[in-house]
Amino acid sequence: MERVRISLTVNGQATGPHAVPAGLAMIDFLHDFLGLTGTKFGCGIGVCRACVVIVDAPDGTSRTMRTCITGAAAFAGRQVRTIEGHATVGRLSAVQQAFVDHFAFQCGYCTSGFVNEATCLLEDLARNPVPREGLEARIEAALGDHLCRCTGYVRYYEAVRDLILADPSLTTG
Amino acid sequence: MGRWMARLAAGILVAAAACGLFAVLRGVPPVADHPVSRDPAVIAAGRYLAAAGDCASCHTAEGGEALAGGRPLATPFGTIYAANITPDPKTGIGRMSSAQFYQLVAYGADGLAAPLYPAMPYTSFHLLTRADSDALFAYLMSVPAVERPARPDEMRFPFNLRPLMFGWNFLFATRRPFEADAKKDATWNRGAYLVEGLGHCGECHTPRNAFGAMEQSRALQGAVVNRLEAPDITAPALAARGWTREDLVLFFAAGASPRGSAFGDMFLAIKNSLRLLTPDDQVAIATYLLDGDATAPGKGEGAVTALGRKAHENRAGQALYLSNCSLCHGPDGQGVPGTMPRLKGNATLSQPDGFNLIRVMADGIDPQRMSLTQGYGPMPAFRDRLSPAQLADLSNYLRSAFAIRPDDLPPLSEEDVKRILR
Repeated sequence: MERVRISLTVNGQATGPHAVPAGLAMIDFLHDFLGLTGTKFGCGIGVCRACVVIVDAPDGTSRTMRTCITGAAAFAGRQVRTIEGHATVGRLSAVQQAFVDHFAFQCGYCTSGFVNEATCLLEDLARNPVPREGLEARIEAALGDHLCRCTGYVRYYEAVRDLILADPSLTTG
Repeated sequence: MGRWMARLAAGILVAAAACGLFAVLRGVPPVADHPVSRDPAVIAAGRYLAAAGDCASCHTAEGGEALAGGRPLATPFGTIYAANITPDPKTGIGRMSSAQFYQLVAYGADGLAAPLYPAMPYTSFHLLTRADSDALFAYLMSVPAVERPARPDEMRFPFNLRPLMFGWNFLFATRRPFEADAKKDATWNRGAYLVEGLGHCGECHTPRNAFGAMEQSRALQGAVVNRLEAPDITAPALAARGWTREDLVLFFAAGASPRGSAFGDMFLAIKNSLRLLTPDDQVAIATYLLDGDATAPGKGEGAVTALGRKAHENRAGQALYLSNCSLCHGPDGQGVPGTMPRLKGNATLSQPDGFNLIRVMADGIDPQRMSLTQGYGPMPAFRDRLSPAQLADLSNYLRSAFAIRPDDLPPLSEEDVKRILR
């Protein structure tokens, strides 16, 4: 298959150029080229969102992208954060700690996707606080597409809500 | 100035008088009243006709009770809300007679005060036989009554003056009953009855004039509805996109076929109507649409065995395809049966203007569930990820690689993409 050369930044570190098959899925690139196996392959058809990573745009905004249905070549030149980029030596991120404190996950397969999505949500609220009465709907809109086969949804949502309410600058009213 | 005003006023008066005269003389032809049947066989026949007429797609609101109305229909003249057609005496059709029902279905009016808007496809349903109308009425009177008042329409002046519709009917609505074509066989004629009448295919697939009436001279030649194009489904256009009778029947029965999967409003039409029809009726519809042309199955397949020359030249498009599309649709466009639509031989690629192709790539498609076990996954939106120039490269690659007879399709430019997405 046709190969393309890509360079990108993953968790703050520039990597590449890598010569990858043009049709290589981003998740396979993360696993096989970079050895980052924390991103999990779930449904493989873009439905469950276990595999999302964070993509940081130059304007300071971020969003998640599904790596099972997106080619590595589509990430060329981008700033990407994966689950491996959240904890700093021996210290979980606030989102990770909240999920642990709330016993949010059991098997953990969907967790890296939830951590990335919740992190994106918190960062967005820091820029655009939401009225407190609209918070539940905002969490639902952000996390609603993520599937958890152990059905930990309630605890995931509670963890995120408590974390947001603990920082008064993220909500208004 | 004064003279012009007087002429204008006189013109309006004459038009109103003509409209009124038509309304009184021809607006609501009298019909005989028949008792409502309680025969289970008639009710079952009516249930089938309700499916064939796709009553539910409009008369059942999203998440609402069956046939209790409330679904909005946006038109260029304002928004109309579908009526409650359950037998509730206060808010539904419980006090209606079979004669009134037939008048509403076939003529769009049961009295001079409040004729229906042609959002109700009486413009097609006039072909219904009275027996079918009575069976349909018997079925509707047998479903659970739901008390749910109709939401008032939000039509702009002067379209909110409903008696004006008699003028519209005079100009645009026909009342010709169905006549079988003696030169065609029974299957073709059954298909004609379903497509032109109860199935009201033309209400989406036929372009409309400035007054919102179907242009019968361009019947079934395609029109843009709700941000997508209801494509040209005349026999030559279907054949040019590779459709065979077998493909069409598969498409009606499952929402998917070697020519691609249904999306947008067609998905609803299949989910709520076409797949519930008997195989005989599905074959009849396909036969009529292809006009009896027994196109050999697999005729389209041979044309897509190798990538076209233009596909090999379009390296930018190929790279975009491989990194953005191939992970679901397959490197060779083969798709995943029952989950991801096949692109090889997909009829949407062969719509010459590329309208639906560009719209679907830019805006994505929500997941489509036919049932608990059958469905297609979501198509992501690429509007924010790919530029118009990239979308043009990608669509040209898709067409040259996977469309049947790609050389007949014009290349799409960046400007074409921008125009379609405007």
